[in-house]
Amino acid sequence: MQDEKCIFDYDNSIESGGEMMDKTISKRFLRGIPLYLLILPGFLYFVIFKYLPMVGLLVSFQEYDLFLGIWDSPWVGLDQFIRLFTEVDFLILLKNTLILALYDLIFYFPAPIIFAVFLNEVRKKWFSRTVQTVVYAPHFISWVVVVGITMTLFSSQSGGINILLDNFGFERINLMQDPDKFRFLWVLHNIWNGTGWGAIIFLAAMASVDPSLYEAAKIDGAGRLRQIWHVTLPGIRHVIVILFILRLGNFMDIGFEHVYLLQNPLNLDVSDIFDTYVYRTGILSGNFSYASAVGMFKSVVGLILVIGANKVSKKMGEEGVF
Amino acid sequence: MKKLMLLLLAFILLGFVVAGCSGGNGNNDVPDSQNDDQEQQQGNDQQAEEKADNQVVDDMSEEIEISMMVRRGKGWPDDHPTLAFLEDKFNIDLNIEYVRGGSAYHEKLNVLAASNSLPDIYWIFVQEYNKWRDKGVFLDLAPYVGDYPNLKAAFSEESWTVLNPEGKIFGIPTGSKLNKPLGTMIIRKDWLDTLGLEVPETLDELLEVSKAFAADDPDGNGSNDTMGFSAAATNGQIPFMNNGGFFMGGFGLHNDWGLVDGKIEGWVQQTDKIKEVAGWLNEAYVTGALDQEFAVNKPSDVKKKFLSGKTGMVINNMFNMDRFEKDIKEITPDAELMAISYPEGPHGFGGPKGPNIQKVVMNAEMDENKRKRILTMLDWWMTEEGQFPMEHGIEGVHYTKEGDSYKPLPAYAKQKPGLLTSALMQAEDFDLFFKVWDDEQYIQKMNELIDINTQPKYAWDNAALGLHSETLEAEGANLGSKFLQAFVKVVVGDEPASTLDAASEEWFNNGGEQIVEELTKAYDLYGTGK
Repeated sequence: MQDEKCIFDYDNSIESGGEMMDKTISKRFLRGIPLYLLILPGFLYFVIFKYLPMVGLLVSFQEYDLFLGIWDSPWVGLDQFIRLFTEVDFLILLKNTLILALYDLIFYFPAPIIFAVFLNEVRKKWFSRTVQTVVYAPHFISWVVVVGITMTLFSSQSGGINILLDNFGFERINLMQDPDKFRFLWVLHNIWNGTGWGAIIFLAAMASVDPSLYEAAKIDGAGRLRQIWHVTLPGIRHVIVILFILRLGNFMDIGFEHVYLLQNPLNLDVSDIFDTYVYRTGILSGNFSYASAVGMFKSVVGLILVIGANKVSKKMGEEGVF
Repeated sequence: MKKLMLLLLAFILLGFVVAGCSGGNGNNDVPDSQNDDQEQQQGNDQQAEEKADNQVVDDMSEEIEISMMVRRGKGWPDDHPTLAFLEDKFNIDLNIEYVRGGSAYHEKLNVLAASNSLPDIYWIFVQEYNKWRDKGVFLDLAPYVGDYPNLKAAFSEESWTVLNPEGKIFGIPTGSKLNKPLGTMIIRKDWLDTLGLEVPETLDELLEVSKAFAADDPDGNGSNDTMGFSAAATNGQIPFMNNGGFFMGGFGLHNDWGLVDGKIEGWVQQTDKIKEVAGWLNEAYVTGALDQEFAVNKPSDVKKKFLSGKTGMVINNMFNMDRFEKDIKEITPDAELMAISYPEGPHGFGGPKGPNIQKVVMNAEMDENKRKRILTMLDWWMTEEGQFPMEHGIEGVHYTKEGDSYKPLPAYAKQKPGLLTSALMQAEDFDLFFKVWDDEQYIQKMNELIDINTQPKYAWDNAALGLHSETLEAEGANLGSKFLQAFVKVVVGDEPASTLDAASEEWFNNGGEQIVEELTKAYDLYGTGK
């Protein structure tokens, strides 16, 4: 930076007036061309795939007609949102969505951190690597398969686990039909599926903790747990905070596929969330405006949470996301 | 050097982006080519005028690209002999898109409509047909259909006009399934024999047989792993072997919609009868006659459990019976299947719940040449000469012919040359279900079954078949699943039967009332009149 300034200052001294300014700007621009080109694909990606589709949100203020398109469909103002908020099921949907989101935050979010901390303490390299690979493999298994395996194992008549329970004199578990078990099953699936994958970023953060801190702690007489508490966790605190804030942005996104696969008429009371509701009333019935209104509502809630959490985090002296 | 590499990389990435963008603009090319077509068309029009007296005939000298979408998950490969035969015969380049039926097909239709790229000819659900009919998306066939006598004769006048406004024909009716039910109740005869049971003729007897299937170990393997029947609680259907129809009618419920005092009434409103149904199913559930997992099942599970020898009854297409028997025999060599007629219930007979009205539509944005070429092809398809290859395939590839006797070749089963007949359209003639090499015994057996199914006492009509209601479209899926939830809870005994009163009322208050009104209005306009 310093060098650049010098050069421009030098230019300034021999050129004069506005002409001089133009020249520096154009020179600067010319020098930057390779960099601009490098940034262009990413820039276009965000414009084309992230910002332009936002135009589609207009649809939520319309009664969208497939054959009239976005520009000619009739405008209905906030009707779609009013319909959503006055829907009989709105409170149930909100409650179910929020409870699942909280379960996710309370039980699933810390899981990769705990796992990463423990894995970090393992001395035998081959062991920790093997464990890590085994634990993050489920990430690549799709929900269809995960739910299918669960259903097969817990099938009330022919499921392996239920037959085993029966043989040992226990009662069979009605895992899929019982509404009380739905939320735990869901969050356990999430933990099984995502812990290993989520731990990667924390392990990377831990690798960057200065080893001399551990040495100093050891000299001060800190045991393993003390080292974790006073060195490892503070070392990855900023990563945890940032990931937490980002997670809040998707607070209401429970993941349609997983819940939909676990859903059945017996657990609908607890398993019906905005995403499955949108699928039924929005996508299957072709109410695209309504579906996008619900989506927008979810995003706005996420946005408020992100901004709020970011402010709180900055107030508490942590780095925020922005 | 490094800088150069970076620059190069940037340009390559830029290239991708540009390519991606221009791909997105591909649709813009369409109007251009249409203009070309129009110009050509003008040229052809002059020719046409010259020939105006003796029916304009397409000489098929120009190759035409035709896009088609059919409801089938797995399709033909591009080099399929029947496809090649069609392309060659009509000088077309036929691009068929295969989409699995069900919600995937709905989604695909909506996406294609939104991006203005609907195919030239495609199969369509009655819901979309009704919704889009007056939007100018479908070609009105009324002026042309008279020129294609075979096509016209393949369907009854009623099939042509149903769901169409006066004087218009926006779709080709398809399927002999309009009024002829193929669903049949299949039962394990070997299980009946093992346990010394009679063929059930009433629903009460059916329940007793189901209980025995569950409790008395009909497969003799010493473990308690069988049940009477399975079900799936899919939207809007009473869970009973996947086809509530066989059952709802017996308890006097409407086939979705009935006509009471000139007004449409939904089965959801018949609470007293629904309570009887729920009581019956509850008994089946408690005794193990009904699959304990029916609430979790997907429709395909019902068939799977029958084929794996877990259940003793299933409802399925009668033409699948032979295949089912073969599959079951691989597990249990002594297995024997039989089709039984619909059991009698306390309020009469249930009937098979026929599939909805089906249509094949053509894109309104189509030039004259293309329209003629497609209709010519369909017209040929509906003749005996055309039916044969569309059903049996190509001689020498899919079958051999010696004198008057035909024999299928292995390629017939593998390549499925009859695919388009079942996935797109078929004439309203039952004989089409038989292959030329089917033996007489088989044909006779199937015809007997069809005769049974079509007996008047089993007739169980949906008064609002194919009718459109905006509220039903918007709220139907949600309302239906809520009611079903209450129903399933009563069946498994989680809640008392009185829950159904509340659920029915909720259905009515949250949209059911409008649905009934709209359907009544539609019935007066377009009703099938039965």
